[in-house]
Amino acid sequence: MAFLCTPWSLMASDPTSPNKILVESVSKSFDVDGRRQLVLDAVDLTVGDGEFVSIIGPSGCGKSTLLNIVAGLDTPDSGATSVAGIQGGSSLGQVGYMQQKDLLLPWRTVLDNAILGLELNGVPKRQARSRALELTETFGLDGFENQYPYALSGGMRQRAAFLRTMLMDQEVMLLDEPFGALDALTRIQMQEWLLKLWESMRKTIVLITHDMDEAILLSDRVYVLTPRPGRIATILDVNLPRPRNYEQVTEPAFSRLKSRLLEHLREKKPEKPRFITGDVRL
Amino acid sequence: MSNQAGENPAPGKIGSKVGSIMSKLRPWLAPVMILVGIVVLWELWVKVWNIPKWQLPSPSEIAKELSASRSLLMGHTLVTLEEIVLGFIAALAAGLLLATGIAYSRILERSVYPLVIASQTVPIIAIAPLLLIWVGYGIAPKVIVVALICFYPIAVNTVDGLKAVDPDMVNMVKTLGASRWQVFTKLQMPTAMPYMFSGIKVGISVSVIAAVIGEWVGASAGLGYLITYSQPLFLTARVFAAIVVLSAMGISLFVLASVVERMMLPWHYTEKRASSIERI
Repeated sequence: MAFLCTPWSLMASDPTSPNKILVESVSKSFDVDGRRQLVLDAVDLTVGDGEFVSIIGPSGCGKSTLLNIVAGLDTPDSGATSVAGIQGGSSLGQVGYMQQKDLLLPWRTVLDNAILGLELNGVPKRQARSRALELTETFGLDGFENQYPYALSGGMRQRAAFLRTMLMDQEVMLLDEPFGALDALTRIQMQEWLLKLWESMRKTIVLITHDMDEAILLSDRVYVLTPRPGRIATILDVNLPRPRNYEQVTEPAFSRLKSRLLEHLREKKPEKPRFITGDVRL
Repeated sequence: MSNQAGENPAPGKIGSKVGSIMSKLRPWLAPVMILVGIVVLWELWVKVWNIPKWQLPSPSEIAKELSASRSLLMGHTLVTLEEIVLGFIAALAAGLLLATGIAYSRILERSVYPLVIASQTVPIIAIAPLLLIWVGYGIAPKVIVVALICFYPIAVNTVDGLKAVDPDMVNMVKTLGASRWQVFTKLQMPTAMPYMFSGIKVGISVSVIAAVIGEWVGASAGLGYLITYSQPLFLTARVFAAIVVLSAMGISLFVLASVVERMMLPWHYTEKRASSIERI
């Protein structure tokens, strides 16, 4: 772990700012096979309080790197981030972060997985458990509290991971393709479920996805990233009325947004056929 | 229950007690049959060729010896068992401590871990006589030999387990606010548990051999001592009786370790079983 102090930590923070997430010209490169590869190129991102924003882009465009930086797991080479008024890398533990893998601990029951974050932050177990039990129904986990994760379906495991993140009660949640590993039908159910949950809780959410329907259905705004190095290609405002439901996917307004999104996603054609790094090159 | 001996016992919902015991014993059937076959052949061989008792006693003679010298065997068994238990506990403590250090500190991993691995190439049987010179004839050199031999599998397996942790899991607990120590106690340690038990099971299996080596080099009691003492007197049946007790001790210790493992890691076993069954 590098204890680098970013020079932007001196940047004035304004707790009253309506912006929950502020990413300013963040760049990041990695050494891949001994070569420096730019992954993120001067990315700007602003998410207001209670907003739902999606980031969509091709594989390897640095979406997850961006989320890691916002979560405080990684530091940018240049640029500044601020999450809920906290600067730079110190946002670790202050932001809810969920990944495609549910990452449930196999030796803990569903309930004890859910309370992991509370436990790590010193909340007594009994108290943490009773807080979790209040929410198991909302998360469709009632009756499975004392099961080990292997006994659960993919959707349930993902909801258990959601509950673990939610119980931390952070204002900002970062979701990195949370439904990516689920089958199509379960994914739709989970999208509807998240939609309802968010409309009742109004947390600030950044969602990374490959799924255009998912991005449009859930978001207030969709950021489209270019292929590596990731830059913001465009920002699409989703002005569909809320509360939303999955049936809107087939409506003309939805289709129009989707075709615009598709246009932007296809806009930047690679100059020449690219190979994903890791291919043999002599 | 009607079709008990069917080719594929249907996992019926009415799990009769007899049926469940039968299905648990089923995997043991073949090895037990082979063992019984060997014993019977051995008995016949000795009887048919009229082999003298001092050369090769028959299983029945060994059984007789087991019963006749049970108090003698019991005394020596307790001595050996004490050496094993003390040596094993020392190995467990040292192994876990070192594994923790190696997993926690990059410097220890680079400096000490290669030495630990290299130390395994030193034949313990060659070290054992030196221990007599250094620590005397008492129980100490035997305990040290047991500890030296058990230590390695426990330490190496635990190091592997502590390192087997999923980096995504580490990131996950960090975003939940975990400290370095919490990453270790809440994530790395439970991950390492099944690995550690593998090491313990290997260690406990060889601990019996280790105690015998320790006693061979120089001792005044113990089953290994009893063997070296009885062999020149051509008390061959007694040698075999001691071997039977030693191997029963080894098997019992292994079973004990497995039972403790199952009790401590219920999730590990149910998960393994579940992964082999079609998921709903």
